[in-house]
Amino acid sequence: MFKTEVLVIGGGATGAGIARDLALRGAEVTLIEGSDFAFGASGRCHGMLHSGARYAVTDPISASECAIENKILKRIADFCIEDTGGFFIGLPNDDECYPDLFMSACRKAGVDAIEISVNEAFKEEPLLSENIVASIDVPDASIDPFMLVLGNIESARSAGSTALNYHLVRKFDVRESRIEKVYVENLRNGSIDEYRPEIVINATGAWANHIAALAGVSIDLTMDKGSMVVLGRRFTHRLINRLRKPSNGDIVVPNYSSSIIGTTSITVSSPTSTSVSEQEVDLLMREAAMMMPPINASRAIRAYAGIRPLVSRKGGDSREISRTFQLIDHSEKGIENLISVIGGKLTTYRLMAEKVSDIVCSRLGISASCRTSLEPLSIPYGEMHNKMIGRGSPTVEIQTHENNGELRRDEVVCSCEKIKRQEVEFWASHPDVRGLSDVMRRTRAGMGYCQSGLCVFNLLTMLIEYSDTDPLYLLTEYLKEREKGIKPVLLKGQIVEEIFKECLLNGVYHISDLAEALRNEENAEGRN
Amino acid sequence: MFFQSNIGNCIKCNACTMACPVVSIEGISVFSGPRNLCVDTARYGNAAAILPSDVYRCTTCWKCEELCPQSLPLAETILELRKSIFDFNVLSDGHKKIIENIDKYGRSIVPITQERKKYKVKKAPLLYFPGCISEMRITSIFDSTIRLLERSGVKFGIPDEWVCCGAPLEKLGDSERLEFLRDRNLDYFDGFEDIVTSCPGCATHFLKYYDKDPLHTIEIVWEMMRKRKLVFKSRKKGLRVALHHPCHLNRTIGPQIIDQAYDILQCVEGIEIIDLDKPDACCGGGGAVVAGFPELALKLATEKMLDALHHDVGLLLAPCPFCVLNLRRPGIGKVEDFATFIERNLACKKEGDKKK
Repeated sequence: MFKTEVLVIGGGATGAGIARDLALRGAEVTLIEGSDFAFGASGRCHGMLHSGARYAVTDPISASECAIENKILKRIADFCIEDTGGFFIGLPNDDECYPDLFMSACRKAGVDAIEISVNEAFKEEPLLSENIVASIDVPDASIDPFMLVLGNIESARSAGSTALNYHLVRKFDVRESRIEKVYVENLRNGSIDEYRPEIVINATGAWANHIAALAGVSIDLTMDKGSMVVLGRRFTHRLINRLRKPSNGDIVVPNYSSSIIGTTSITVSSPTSTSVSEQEVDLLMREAAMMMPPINASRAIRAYAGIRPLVSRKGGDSREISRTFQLIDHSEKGIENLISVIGGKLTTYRLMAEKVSDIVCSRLGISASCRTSLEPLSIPYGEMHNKMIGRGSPTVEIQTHENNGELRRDEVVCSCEKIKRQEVEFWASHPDVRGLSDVMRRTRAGMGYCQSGLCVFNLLTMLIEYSDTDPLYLLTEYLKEREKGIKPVLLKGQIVEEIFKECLLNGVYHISDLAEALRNEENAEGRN
Repeated sequence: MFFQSNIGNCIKCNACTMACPVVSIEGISVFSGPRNLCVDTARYGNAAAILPSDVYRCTTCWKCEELCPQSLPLAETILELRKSIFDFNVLSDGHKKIIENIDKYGRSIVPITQERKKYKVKKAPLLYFPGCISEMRITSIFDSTIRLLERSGVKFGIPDEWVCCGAPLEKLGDSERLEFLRDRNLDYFDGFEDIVTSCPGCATHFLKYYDKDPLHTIEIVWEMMRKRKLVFKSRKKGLRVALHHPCHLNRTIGPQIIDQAYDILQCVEGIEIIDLDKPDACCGGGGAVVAGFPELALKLATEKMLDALHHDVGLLLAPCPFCVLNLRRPGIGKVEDFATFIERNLACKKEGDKKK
């Protein structure tokens, strides 16, 4: 039996942000996450730190929230942000009135948008389409969502709170309209822990309804799938946005060595419907190629989707639902100590956390005010930091190469993303890490254009030193997960790579035969 | 923004890195290899981030491109990378010397003054472009080629005012000077139909940048052999001869020229043709590596010469002045230019030939 003041359920940006905020104010917090941190929508987003410009016209509240948070995050989380800047570009057939509308909306929302000449835009980003008719410079940036979440987790921990991944909520004990006990299964060993929280916060994103149902309440939630395509290289230094009303395929985000095109908006019924169709890939690439023609001929290495939990509104297109967030206090519906938080964006996670924490603190009688915008996040790879400044970002390659002879000699284990052995070693031995996907989320090892085809064995050898799980199981589970994202882009240039990997994994190493033998063995044991 | 459009389809088979002669000598931690340099750097779009010492170690032997199952322009991308970082003033002293020489003398090397017969003609069917090394360093190549050309009966000329073709500048990434040299040379190339050169480097460069279809001396000699104009000295059997396949001859202007060289060697009397283990391995003489990383070039040349030594080769033939120059540096065995060897083994001219 564990006692805690606040139990935060959900280890995405929102949950981690709340845990950090409350911990900094001196509350006793426990965060539990059913899978890995940043497993849901946080880790499946664009990696875009909004300047607010994208929502300025259609969703002014979101826009001004983003504009403020953009500046704060650049200050407190600079280790996971590449301050690229962004362009909004207009194409000939786009609405002619939109740019003026856009500029005045940006001014109103406090977004620093500056109109620049088309020639200047070309000089900065030569791969843009020759047809562009307007270009506006905004302070968008590229952000590593995994590191952002882990940074919050790390801050929460160092402020004295507990954060556990692979701990799944199984049951609530509701007595006298209060959640008395929470039963949590530790997925690592199957044991059930009991928690007695004062307040429970439901920050589970697309799973919010699922958690609410355990307490016997429901939330009106629209699940909106956004699909993204990862291209194997960078085309621009900046983020490129289409200067029009938010629609499909109008953002290209440079992310380390790749570019991510987003996004679609399709209402789905389950938080796990994250498969992407070939049609979506086609659509996204076609739209993005209008802004940058070389995208047409370039190789897509993966597609993925995240589920946005949006506040429902009757009828209409899910694009028109505000991207701002909503706090639901369930005391009106009969559960006194449950608060759900849904909606919002990665960019505004800190603000959401602040609002939630304000309510929680007033209930707990804590008078401390929010400090999350003042203190920088802890860097999740702590003492490793100096050795890995910039991780794979090109400007830093020079420094690491020239100044840090030690690192230069250190073996590169993932050659697509240039991830060094030291870094993988650090995470492989970390208590949070359970499988290969966890290592990948934390290091980027395996995210490159071979999609773990070659580095998977490097990663596995390092991981099994710290893990009791059968290596073959770890390997096949991981590769299966990777395959899901590769299927929709096979015809976009990835197929040759996959055939080569097939020859390597199954022709040379016989992985699938071995996996089958393992299954048969297990079955035989089961019969005995 | 560095962008090569057709480099994105790497499947990471590693064929290029395994076959790279520089990787095998220096190790992957010193020279990261074609894939790392070309594919991965290009993905970040920031060529300035690569290390000059990395990208300037490539000898541009084109082996990686030859092997790549996806036909990626790897060697070409290395040259593009060099071009993109040229403005950062990253050249080593040896490299800077080349540019200095070209600015000063119009040659990539310091010329030696020499009294020579002039072959100045404004118009002729054939232009002989000796290249910097044959003209000023290994002058025997120049002399032999002149004699061979005279013997072939083709009318030829050498424009007096020619300058370095620009190939060394291409290897350094200096695209501005390169255009200047090209325009200057092209002015003098007008009156000639064909170009023949002793140097595969020049030939490759003419093909790529001058929009010409140049010949190598071997092709002229082969034509002579076909017309039965080659009569060789009779000599006792015994000389063991091996042919080195210069990279820029073998992989860029045409492997058929190597076949022609073997055809010609078959006709030379009294020699035994030996096959090396790796006849097409790079000697280290290309890509401006000799100027930038002399030790690396020496190591590569030594490997090649040890290969020849292993087969007890008495004379190694190299149809490229740069290869001859570099292969002679270890001082292990005898190395000669192909044209020089052929010319020296020809029987004295018959009276009949002269009248023709």
